[in-house]
Amino acid sequence: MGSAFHVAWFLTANRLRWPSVLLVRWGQFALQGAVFGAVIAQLVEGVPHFQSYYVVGLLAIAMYNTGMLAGSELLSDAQYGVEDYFLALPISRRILYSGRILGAGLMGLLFVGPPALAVLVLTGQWNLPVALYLILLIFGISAGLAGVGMAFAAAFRQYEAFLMVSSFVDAFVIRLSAALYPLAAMPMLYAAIAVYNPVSHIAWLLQPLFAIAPPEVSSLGSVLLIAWIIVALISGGLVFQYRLEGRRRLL
Amino acid sequence: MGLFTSRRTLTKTEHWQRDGLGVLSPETVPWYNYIMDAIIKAEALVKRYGNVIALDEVTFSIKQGELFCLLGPNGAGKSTFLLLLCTVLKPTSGKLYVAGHDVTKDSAAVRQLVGIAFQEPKLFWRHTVQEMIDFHIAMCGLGRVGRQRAEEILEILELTSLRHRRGLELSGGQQKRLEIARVLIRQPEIAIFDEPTAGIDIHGKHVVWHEINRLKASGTTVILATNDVYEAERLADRVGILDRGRLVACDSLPALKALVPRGEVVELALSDGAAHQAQTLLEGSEGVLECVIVSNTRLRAYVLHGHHSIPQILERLLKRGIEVHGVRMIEPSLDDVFLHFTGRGFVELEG
Repeated sequence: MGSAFHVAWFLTANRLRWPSVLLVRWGQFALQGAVFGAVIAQLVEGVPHFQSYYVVGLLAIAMYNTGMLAGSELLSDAQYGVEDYFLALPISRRILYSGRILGAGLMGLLFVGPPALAVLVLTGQWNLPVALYLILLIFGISAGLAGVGMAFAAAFRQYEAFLMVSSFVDAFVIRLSAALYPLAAMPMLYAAIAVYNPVSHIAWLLQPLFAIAPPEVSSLGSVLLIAWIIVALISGGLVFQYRLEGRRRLL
Repeated sequence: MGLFTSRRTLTKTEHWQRDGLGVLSPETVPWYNYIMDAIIKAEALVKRYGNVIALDEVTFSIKQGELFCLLGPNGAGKSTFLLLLCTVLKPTSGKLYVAGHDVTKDSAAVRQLVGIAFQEPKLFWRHTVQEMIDFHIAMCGLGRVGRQRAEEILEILELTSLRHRRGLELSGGQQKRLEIARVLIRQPEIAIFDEPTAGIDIHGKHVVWHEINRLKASGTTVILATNDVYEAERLADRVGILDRGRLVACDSLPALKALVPRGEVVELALSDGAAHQAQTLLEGSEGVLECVIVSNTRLRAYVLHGHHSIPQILERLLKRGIEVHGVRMIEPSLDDVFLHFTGRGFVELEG
């Protein structure tokens, strides 16, 4: 696995060389959570501490986006030829895939970690075990969702096609989730779909850490989410392998 | 990892048997030694991109330790073949073996043997030269020996002073040299260079050629794709000429030259745009075997006896009012081999 960590770190170092991207992402999050969250909290009735609910939902969406970003990065690297270099290295496709998955986990920590920890402090829920658990969740979920992003990317192969389809899918996945609005406040049909939405489960997993929901709410969600992540990782790996080598092969 | 790499490497004979080619021995097959020496073997190799056929039923082999040059105009399929060889692409049909490993079935084993310097440098724009080299050394598992070799290669390719520059801060030639450095540092069993000196200055070209020769001398099989006939003539043990995806010729340079029409080559320097008119006039005339347009102002005539034909050619051209600025007799070169086998002049190729 040493080579996979090398790939992951190399990709991460590339991102660290462009700190303005990180600052823009954090700034965007702060702006949306603080300003838009405060405004919308004035409009929503019947949901206590809605701004906190909204901000935690934003974190869940940011994690989902990180996973999809891993897919778009794969295609962007292919477009600029860097992926050819990776593909020609004396490493297996499995290591390359694992490296990208770990890299996506680290990308999640970079993009979502600092805002999440800041929210933890601002909501008064900061303590070390919770912070460490939150970091672990961000890493695991981002890496897991990268499996979906990479499966999409490997299936479409074209950057533009991927962007079109992923934007379309994202619009549904994010809006039909309980990340930004509680199930109780949603129309029946939407709520029925949102129950099975992975973004809803990410939000439900995060909410107890910020004292928005009791821990028992997230227990079933955790199991579903972990199962979903495992399926995402395996299917992502299979599609990646299949599309590159032209045949099915177990990872 | 073990799922990708067979624990025990099959012998070449076992591979041939597995592929249904029966038991091979010097007694049963006259070309046994040649086949056994082949480290790369392509059989009816086809690669399509949609409706475009990049490689069309290409069959040939490359011997261990030789410097094989793939020559062809842009779009001939050279890079596609090299990308198949390093497992970045997969064949549409046909077979490609590297040291007995099928590139489709044993791609991980193939990558352990093959290193490529791409035509377009594949650099990470925000990483420094040193970081890219360090990453390459780590990924290829070269360790301390690799780091020592890297120091030497960076010095030779004049990259030492650039080691802290980022990829985006390098010039085109510097990027190309870094791309080549990665292969030289790795010293793979099979080194692939795709147009290695394109965009490099004259001094740099000689350095790269010297290093490629040094690599070959160390026992590495070198495959070089180029559209520079001079480069091929200077370096190659054998040359394969690709044209529109088909391998039109493949042999040693002397053998290929022997296939070009016998006679001598007369090159004429003409006024701009006069080459086509002169070609029409001279082709089929007495003593002229073939006429090829090299450029708008240069025409090459293959004649039986140069000294006898030159006065006749000049007389014919001057009578028609075609100005001749210079005449010279040249030795048949790989240029002529290339023109003969592709059946097209350079003007057409460039077009």
